[in-house]
Amino acid sequence: MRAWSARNGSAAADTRQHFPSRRRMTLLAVLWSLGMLAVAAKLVQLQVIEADVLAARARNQHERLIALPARRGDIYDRGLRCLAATVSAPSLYAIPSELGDVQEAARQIAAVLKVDRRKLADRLASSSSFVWLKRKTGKDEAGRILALGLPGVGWLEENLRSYPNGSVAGQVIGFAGVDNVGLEGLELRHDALLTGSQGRALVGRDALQRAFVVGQWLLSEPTAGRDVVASLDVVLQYQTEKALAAAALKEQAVAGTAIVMDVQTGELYAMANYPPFDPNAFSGARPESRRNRAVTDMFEPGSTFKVVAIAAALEAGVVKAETMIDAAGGAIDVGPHTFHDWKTFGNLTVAEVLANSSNVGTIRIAQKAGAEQLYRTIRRFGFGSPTGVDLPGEAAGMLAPPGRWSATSLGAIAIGQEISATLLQSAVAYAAIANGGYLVTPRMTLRALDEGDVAGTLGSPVTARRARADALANLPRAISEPVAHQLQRMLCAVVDDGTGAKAAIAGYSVGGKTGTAQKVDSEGGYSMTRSVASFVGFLPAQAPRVVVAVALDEPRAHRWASSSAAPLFRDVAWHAITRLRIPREPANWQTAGLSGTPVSRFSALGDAPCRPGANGCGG
Amino acid sequence: MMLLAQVRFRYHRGDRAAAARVSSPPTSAPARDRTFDFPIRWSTIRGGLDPWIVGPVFVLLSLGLVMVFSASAFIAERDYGSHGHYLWRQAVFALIGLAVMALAALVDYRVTLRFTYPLVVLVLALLALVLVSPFGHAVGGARRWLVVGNMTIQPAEFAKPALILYLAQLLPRKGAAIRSFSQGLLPALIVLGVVLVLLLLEPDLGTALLLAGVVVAILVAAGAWLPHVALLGLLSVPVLLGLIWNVAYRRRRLLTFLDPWADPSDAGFQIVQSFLAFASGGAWGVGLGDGRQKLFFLPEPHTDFIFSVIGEELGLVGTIAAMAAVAVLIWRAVAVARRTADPRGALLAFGVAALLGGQSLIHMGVAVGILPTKGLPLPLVSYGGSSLTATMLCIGLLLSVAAPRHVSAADSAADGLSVRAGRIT
Repeated sequence: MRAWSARNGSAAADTRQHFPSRRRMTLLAVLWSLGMLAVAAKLVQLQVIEADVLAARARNQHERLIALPARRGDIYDRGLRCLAATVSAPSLYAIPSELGDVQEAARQIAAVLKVDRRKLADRLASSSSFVWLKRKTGKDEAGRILALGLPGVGWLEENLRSYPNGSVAGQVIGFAGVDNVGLEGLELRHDALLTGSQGRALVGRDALQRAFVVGQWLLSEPTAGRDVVASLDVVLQYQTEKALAAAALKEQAVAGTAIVMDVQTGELYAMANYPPFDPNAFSGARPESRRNRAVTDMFEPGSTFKVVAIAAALEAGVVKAETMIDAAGGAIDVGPHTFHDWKTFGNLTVAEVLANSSNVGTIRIAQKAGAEQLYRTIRRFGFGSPTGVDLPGEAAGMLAPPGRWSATSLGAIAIGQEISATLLQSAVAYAAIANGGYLVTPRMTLRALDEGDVAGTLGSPVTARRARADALANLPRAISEPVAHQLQRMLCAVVDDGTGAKAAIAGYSVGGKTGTAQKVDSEGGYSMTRSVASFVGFLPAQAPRVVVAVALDEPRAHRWASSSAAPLFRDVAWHAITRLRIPREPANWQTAGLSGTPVSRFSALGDAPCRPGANGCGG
Repeated sequence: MMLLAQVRFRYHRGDRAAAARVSSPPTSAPARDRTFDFPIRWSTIRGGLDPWIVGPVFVLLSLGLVMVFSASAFIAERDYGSHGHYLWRQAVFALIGLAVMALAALVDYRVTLRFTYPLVVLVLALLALVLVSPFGHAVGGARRWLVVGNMTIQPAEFAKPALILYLAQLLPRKGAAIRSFSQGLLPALIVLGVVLVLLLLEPDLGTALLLAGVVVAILVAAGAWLPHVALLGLLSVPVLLGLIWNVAYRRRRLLTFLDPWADPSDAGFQIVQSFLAFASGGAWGVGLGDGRQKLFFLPEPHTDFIFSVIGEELGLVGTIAAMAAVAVLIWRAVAVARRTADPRGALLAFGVAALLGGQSLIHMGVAVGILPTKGLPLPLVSYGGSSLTATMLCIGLLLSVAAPRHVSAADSAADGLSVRAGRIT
């Protein structure tokens, strides 16, 4: 400003004025330089001071983290037969922007895939840059689509979960969804193990969202999932399912469950559910068939539970097997409620109470033991809390503590009412009786497969038993060993000459108990027509190997479990005998057992030819 | 070439009269100056080409070729199926530009100035042809190009040297009358006005504003009375606001400039992408060719936003180096202007400095977001045949002015108007 006024201030200045003005040139150049300095300052701000924040933003738009899928592990049965495997299948996609005539493309594709043309056209006309046409399709179909030669249509290899045995063990294995995430059963339970870890890679992309030629930076390699070995024997599982389905059809039951479990290791050899479920077609299956009822469904156990009340009294020392119980009159009042027997008995021994499934006798025995002792014993058998089986969705069962019991409760609980349990919980309780009093944890999985494992060596019941026999002593006790042995003999009598007669198997001694539990109807009382018929037992009684538990939901052909569930038990148990190669027993074992000779729990196994003998248990 | 051939022909025949006319007022060069005997020969610049001009020019030209290739390879691949498309074209333009520069440098600028008026008329005609002839070619709503065969010419680029030559020729004749509005400024403003109207009809507001700025700078340097300049500035404000406010995209760009992060995905996309380019580069750059912002994030990465590509690939080191090269060139041009006794040469040199400096500053200012988005190429670096050729013509003129003979003491002494010649103020 001063230069400006000075220049205009005097005419004399004009005469000295140089045209053009050097001073003004310099001034303008300095102004320009200030502008350049401003640019430089902004550059320092952008490229140094704020660089980190903005550069992260830039990376976000340049790079996309993609997951490299890891191969999902297989699931095998104990003989290393495949239950679930991953195979690759082509998945067809389209990039709408490259299709050209969307309507025409939709028409051609829809004709091959047999889908609605208009819906497909809508999806292709949407703004998305990538559309799945059909995922995990067959090679034939993919070939026909690609043969159309449409631009922008391609395929990617995707992993498809395949269950080669169809519906066999469907509910146990569960399934993995379209994105190979386990959603049910072992697939869900061992999802982390089976999935492995995904690899990660960075893919460069341009402003048009295309993965670009600038390449791919591998951040981590994918680690394949581990293979899991289930404790199931797929053959026994199949046989069990067939027997269950046959029985369910014959008895016109709406559903059914059967379990075969090792009494010492808790390994589950079979766990069958009816109606069947095929995990290959999980999306179309009805939810009630997907459920693994053995662990998810609770029901009142009914008479199979009576053994718990008797165990409570035996443990407390208030009765012995030979103690006479007054079951006269066929009815007993407990609080406001009267319990009836199915027929009128006189005086019965404790063993006879169980053999005849007398409600009155059982309630009297429970009354001798008292509520606290009964509750304690129930809990020690594992009722009221989950068994801890390695399957998802397990129910704990329902059991109220004595403080909340009504006047009727002691009587009701003694005969398996006012309490609900899963069939697996009942199987665990009977396993405790069979193995000398130990509460096992059921297991559906043996372990993750290691390299070097060979089919046939892994799941051998003999080696597994021997290896885990020592571990048995560390398990919590449900009952003392003498009581367990007393109960074994009583349960054997149930089959020999009680309500469980139809469960008897020639050549083998079987211990077990029927249960017919009426279902609660809509008015809150017990239904006269709808019931759960069950049978839980073990064999061979001399040296118990397996516990077999079966239940039929709402059988209509026979009212009593002795006629519906017991024959099913026999069928399943027979399959277990042949499949697990359980040898026949000497005919006279029971006499020896009763005389108090210790029973070898680990008898020689395996090599003896298995033939059904002519003799029944004891005779 | 034809014009030049005529010049040569005339001087070969020893047309002394013509030579005398050229060398006459107001500089009244002494007779011993043999320049006009044979205008194109090395001896005319026997002091050599000014390394402080040639050096930065070659640095920027080389940087331009490399960066044009890096910035345009993917776009060229997409649009022409050949990643070298823009590189080879730019290389050819650079050769043409070097030839034009050499020619303009070897010919005495006072000879060149003789062709000012035909050149101005030619440029005006071309600008008009763009608008009305079938050769005019529009891209994205702007009709800025003449297409003849496979050649594309942007006449606006040639309007820049034409206007500088015009003012350098016109203003020194006015002498002290430059301080009068009607006699001094009006003739300059009329020609400028015609050019601006033609440019705004295309429309090319960016070039128009740049040219107006360059003309004002030359007028100020030439000694215009500053209140006139201030008044012109005041009068142009409403016009400028009207031009911006009545056109939706210009208004949006201005608003975006004020707050680029308000809508980074849409209106602010260009400038935000430029920010991200600089930030990605950081201090040292991601390396030549490794930039990502050119992958269709940056608009026109090989022309309007080449400075951003430099920033990403070469980092702060690269951007500061490029700015330093420009600064050396501009300050050298100003120094040439200041030391040149002949006011025509001085204004010519200063005009070149104003044009290249102004355009570089706007390009860089836009890229870093301190100026609203205006698509101007970075001189000597950005892709563009017309731009490069016109810029090299300017450099040639500057070299011609800078040739040592024009700053001889004799010249200075002979310059009656320069009483303080040689003194640096």
